[in-house]
Amino acid sequence: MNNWINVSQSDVNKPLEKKVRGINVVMMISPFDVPVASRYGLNSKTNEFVVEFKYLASSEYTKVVDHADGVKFELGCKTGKVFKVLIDNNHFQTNGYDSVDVSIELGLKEALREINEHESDFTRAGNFSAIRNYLSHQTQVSV
Amino acid sequence: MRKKSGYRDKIYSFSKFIMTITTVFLTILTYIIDADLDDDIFSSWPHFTIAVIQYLKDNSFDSLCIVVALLFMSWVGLKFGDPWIWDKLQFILDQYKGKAFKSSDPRSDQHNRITLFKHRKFIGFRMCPTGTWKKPWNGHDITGGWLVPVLRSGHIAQKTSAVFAAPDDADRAEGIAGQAWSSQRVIIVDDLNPIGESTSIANKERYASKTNSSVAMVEQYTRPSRIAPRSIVAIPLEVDSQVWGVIVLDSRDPKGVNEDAVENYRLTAATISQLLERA
Repeated sequence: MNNWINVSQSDVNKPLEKKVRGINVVMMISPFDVPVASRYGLNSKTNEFVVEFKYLASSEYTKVVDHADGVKFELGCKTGKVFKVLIDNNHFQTNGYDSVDVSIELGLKEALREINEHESDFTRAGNFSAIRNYLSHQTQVSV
Repeated sequence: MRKKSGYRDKIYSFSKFIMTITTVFLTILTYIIDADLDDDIFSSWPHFTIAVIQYLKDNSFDSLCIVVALLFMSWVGLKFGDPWIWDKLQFILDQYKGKAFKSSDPRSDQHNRITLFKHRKFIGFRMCPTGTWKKPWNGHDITGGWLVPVLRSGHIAQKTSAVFAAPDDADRAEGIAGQAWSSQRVIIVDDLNPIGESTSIANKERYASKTNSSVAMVEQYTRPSRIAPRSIVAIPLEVDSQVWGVIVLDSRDPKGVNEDAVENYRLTAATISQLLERA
């Protein structure tokens, strides 16, 4: 794993104007739902690319949610926050993408697709938005 | 609302002392109840000590009741929280207030406030700000969930009766604070129209709809010649991985507080959260 890198708040937590019950308000994701830092690396034992997140004042037991398609999410048991995204390189490499970089890029895109498809699994709406914004930004950067 | 006073320090220190003493006494008492005074071990003990032990044995039930009562009292005393932590929280709110608001006018300092609201299931017999004696909780369930102020920045404007309904049903949440609680998102409202006691009903209605409140709430707030805030930011606060309450920043300046108060002071929110874990 590489070192922790601060997550840019302006990329992940942009103020959004929303209509709530007919009234315009500016909403932001709670600072407790936005990762403060992330790190990533390749687990050579499992051949998984791992993206890990750190939050403000939060540590808890986690559980892994597996949706197949080579992407798993490690969620906090208490809060439902995403602590890790696990991308299985074997899955992408056996599908013809032999380069690790390409499989990671595809993995991140797959993770973004998964998170959008299985929104109901992510009980913490604010954290869901923050991780989706993070993955969306990462996939745009890597393209 | 917590008041700055030395009596809480004394209650907390005394409760801690009583808790320690009664725990030790309880340990001794449980040993004494089972002790056989005819045992050789007690033969060399002074008569006075033996008499005390015998007295405690004879009145073991009463002694246990007193110990349990003292333990309960000290537990209640400790439940109010460590005053040292609340002093530090007050200091952090004051520092946060000094930096989070955008205003160059030194007089505006007293027009900017940060209030810490705690979510409680049960409001007790406290009056809702909109309430009358006929409808004390403004039609909300008394045990439905409420945001109650526990700490406020500054040394003036400490007194507040602002209580907002924050039930599980998001549609019934009151105020910007209630909205932030139910959505678990930061809510920012600025450029609100100026509201005072003599403002027209139409303007009060407009203000009420923008702040997710009712005209009755606005009127109650402005009745003692007060001016309602014109920009508000509410930040949900998490303690021990659970949403604990809401921090509300409000200013009489229409642009007094904005998203910078959230983006630049995340660590302040984290520090408050960590202190509250131990409070």
